[in-house]
Amino acid sequence: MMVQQALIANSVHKSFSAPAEESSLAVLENISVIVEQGEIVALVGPSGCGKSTLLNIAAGFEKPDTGEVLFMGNTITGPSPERAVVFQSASLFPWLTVKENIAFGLKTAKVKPKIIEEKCSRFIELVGLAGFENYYPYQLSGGMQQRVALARVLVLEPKMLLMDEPFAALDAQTRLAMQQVLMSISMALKPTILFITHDVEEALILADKVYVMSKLPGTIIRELEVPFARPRPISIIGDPQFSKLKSEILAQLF
Amino acid sequence: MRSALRTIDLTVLALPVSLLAAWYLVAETGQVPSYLLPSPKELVRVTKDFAWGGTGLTPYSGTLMEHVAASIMRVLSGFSLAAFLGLSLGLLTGRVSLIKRLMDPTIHLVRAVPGIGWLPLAMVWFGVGEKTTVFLIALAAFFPVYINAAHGFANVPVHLLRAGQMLGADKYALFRSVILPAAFPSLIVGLRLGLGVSWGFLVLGELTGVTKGLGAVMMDARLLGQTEMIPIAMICIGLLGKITDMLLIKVCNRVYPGHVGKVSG
Ligand SMILES: Nc1ncnc2c1ncn2[C@@H]1O[C@H](COP(=O)(O)OP(=O)(O)O)[C@@H](O)[C@H]1O
Ligand SMILES: [Mg+2]
Repeated sequence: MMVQQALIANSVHKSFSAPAEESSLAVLENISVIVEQGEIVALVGPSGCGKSTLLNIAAGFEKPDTGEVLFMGNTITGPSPERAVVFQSASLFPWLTVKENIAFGLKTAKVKPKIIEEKCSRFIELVGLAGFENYYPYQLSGGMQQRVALARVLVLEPKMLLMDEPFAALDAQTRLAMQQVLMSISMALKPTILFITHDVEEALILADKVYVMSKLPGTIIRELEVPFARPRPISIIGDPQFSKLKSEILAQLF
Repeated sequence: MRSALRTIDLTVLALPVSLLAAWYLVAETGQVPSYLLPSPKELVRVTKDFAWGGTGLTPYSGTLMEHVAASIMRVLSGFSLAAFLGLSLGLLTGRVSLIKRLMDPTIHLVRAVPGIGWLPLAMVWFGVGEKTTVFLIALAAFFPVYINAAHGFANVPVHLLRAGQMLGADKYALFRSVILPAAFPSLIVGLRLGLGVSWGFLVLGELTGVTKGLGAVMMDARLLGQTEMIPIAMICIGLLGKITDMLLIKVCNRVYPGHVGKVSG
């Protein structure tokens, strides 16, 4: 069976008009990225290098100036639940409870209430939020909010997950815990993921393949396959080969 | 129940209770003539007569409900008109920048004229009475509803819109499940302010020559020298304002239960 590419970005350029200036700010330059089906691909780069811009293009929130972005062979025309997004800030609907937030996509798709009920409780269980169904987002910790954000897209069984520094705002311990949650979920559901981060260690723990981006304007300066089998224990951080890769990438980022 | 009693803050009651006591003393000892300041006792007797009739203390004996009904009808018509126009125009200017540029500056220009300033023109257009009152209420209540609605609809966070879109919401679903609830707190603020203003302009309109309504009672009572009716009508208007505000909040909380607790009376 042939492995099909889920996401292909081909020589993407994007610039923004800078405020109060005639000139424009080049943000992405000649970006080409491939995400195979079932693969976890991480994109690391310094803050402000255009990572979110690339993800927003893949999500369909923005359009590239030139170049093309294909999903399952088709040009991306707009947002769709088959390319679900987990944002850096959880972006939950503050007027909905945990359960209602998770049910949002299914309700919008007019799924039968009984099936919504079943699926929601399954995914609430999966992300470890049983007992918090009726809480409102402001009553949850940052880590729990991110679990809800994860559950509300997983429940739609998207073909691909686009994750924009989803754990960056969390404290170190919660971040490690969330990485483990994501790992176990990916072992169970085998989703295709484009994972954006500025944390090299996080990229090496989670991804099959890592793209390294330069400072603004963002270009891809390196592509590498991560040579460790998944799932990876936390102790992988102590592995000499892991440290070597990490310091190599860090050296490239500065 | 006991804990509710215990949480009543006595400091809050101190001022109104002493004012009431002072009023009672001043009026009962006859230091101020009763046509300037009726005594509380007298007021209670006249109020009972106003509400239930029977004793015929004033020409308004037993007519409370008629006047209340007339006033409520005017506030409801004027306020509904204001709410409808304010919310729909607020939505349009809040979400569509072309319409904003087209209409918003003109609306604010009109707003610069104080509501009371419209009274003579309204009387020319609509004659004295019913229509003028409803027009003044609708005009005055429109602006707070409109401004808050436009603000609320314009400031729906982009990340929530994007979240809705990527979860599969089309234009209509996005409006119903993201834009409307996100703007809702602003809408409530505008509606509450508008309703408050409505009662104010009701009195203005009714002072100018309608036969029924609490404002008419006040003006009429002044002419007939029935001074004690004036504060009674004032208190009625205050109470009705408070009650309708509470009802509005109830309705709003029913529509979006997620906001319960965030809207306070
Ligand atoms: N809508 C926008 N308008 C103008 N400039 C933008 C816009 N979005 C992002 N930028 C600019 O593009 C650059 C990259 O932003 P972003 O993609 O968010 O970076 P990253 O996610 O890597 O931190 C930044 O310099 C930012 O100021
Ligand atoms: Mg970013």
